[in-house]
Amino acid sequence: MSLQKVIKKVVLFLAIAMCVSLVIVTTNAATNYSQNWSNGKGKVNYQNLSGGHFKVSWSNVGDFVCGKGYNPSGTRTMSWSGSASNAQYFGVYGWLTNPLVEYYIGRSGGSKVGTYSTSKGTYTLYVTSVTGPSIQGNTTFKQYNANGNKGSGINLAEHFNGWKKLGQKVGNTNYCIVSVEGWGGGSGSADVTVN
Amino acid sequence: MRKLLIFLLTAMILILSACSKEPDTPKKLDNQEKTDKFVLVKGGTFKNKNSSYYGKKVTISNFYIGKYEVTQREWIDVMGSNPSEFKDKNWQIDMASNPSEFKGNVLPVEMVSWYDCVEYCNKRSIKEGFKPYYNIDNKRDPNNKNDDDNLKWTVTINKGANGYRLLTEAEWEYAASGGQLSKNYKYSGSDEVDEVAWYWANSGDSFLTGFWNSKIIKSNNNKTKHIGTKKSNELGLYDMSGNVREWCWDWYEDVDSDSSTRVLRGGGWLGDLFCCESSFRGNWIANSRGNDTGLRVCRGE
Repeated sequence: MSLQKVIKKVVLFLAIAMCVSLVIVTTNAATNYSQNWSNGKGKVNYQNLSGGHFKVSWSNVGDFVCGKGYNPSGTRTMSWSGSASNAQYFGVYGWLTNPLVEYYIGRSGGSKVGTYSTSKGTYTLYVTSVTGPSIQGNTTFKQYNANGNKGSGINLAEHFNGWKKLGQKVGNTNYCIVSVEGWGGGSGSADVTVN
Repeated sequence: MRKLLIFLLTAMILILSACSKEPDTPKKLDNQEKTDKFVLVKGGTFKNKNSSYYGKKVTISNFYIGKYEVTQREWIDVMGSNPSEFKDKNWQIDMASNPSEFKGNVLPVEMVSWYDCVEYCNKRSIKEGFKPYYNIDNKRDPNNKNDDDNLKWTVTINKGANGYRLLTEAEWEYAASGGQLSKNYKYSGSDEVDEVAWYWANSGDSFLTGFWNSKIIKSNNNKTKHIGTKKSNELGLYDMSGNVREWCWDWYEDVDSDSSTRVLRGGGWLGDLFCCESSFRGNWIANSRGNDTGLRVCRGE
């Protein structure tokens, strides 16, 4: 075999190998955001397990949040297995930019704007203004709270479209996680795997 | 004898000319350059391919820019107070008893609104003998459509004044992106954010990972850092990315928007890394004060 032919075969092999490895990396980039936690008040024990799996337990806690998810979220469906007990919040949480918006899908809070339909039922959207820390630093931004079915299978596209139909701005996606929050001296635990 | 007379006469002339009073002239900015606090930015069109102004017909004129963010000390020297959150309880005693070691000499001022900053610029100009750049009128600005702004001062520019001022956001991006010496970095001075910027992940006790999280940031003691402790950019400027966000002159919105906020550039110790990109546009209501929000000043050539 001539040198030229050998080189061509090697290049072809490398190209194929790179394509295969790219595919593998993409599909395993599923839950690409995790979080380590240490708390000054009370005790929070967070375990960052493999893939989308995390466990957390807390006692007499001041204020914490943890979870796993995606950045950017795009318009994906957030789905997970597992549960949380005694959490102040357990559900989908994320940010949008342009304009800056913090959102919770699984609770109310603020002024009622209206309702919209999704494959998991009807949600009521509440909006409030917050001044404080954000992904862009201290600023004043809108917080969207969508109250309805909190279970796994939250299709972000349906919610973003619902908010737009209610006249609320939806810009670019940033991160979105399945989050567990605790505050006010409580104790509890969670064992969750985000898909 | 004659030689002695000539010597004495020469000496007298020299002494007399040294003693003659000259009118007080403002300290020239060249002196400030020499004391390492200001840099002359050579103007031109945008060279950095990552810039939103690249390829557009935007030309920046030469201007002098502070190498560092305005410090607490520089603020105190002009305004007489230290509004910053990140200061020691006994800062006044520290400053009086050991002025060269005072932490406020190297910490950026924060908790200053856009209005505070234009006032600072004018007061500093007057103090140093320059003509104030801004006209500040308490009369409500009809162009300010933000109902959350309880001040809405009308601030206009004195054309031709040589005093201190905020950068326009085009000037800010030009300087941050490296000016004529640009190496096409994403952040100011590097493509690696940790080399040049203090931001949410690296501005506390431990390096934080995962998604941005305000509660973890709080428990991790994140805060402002000493100016000039990260790598500078191509023009020798420090902390354009990160540390404190810097108020700029411009309105954030287009003229036909229903809101009015002022531009903040550079990101800070609190926000996420994308805010540290030289092209990122932040904003806030002009009367707002935050512990991650300060300023950098400049003057025309």
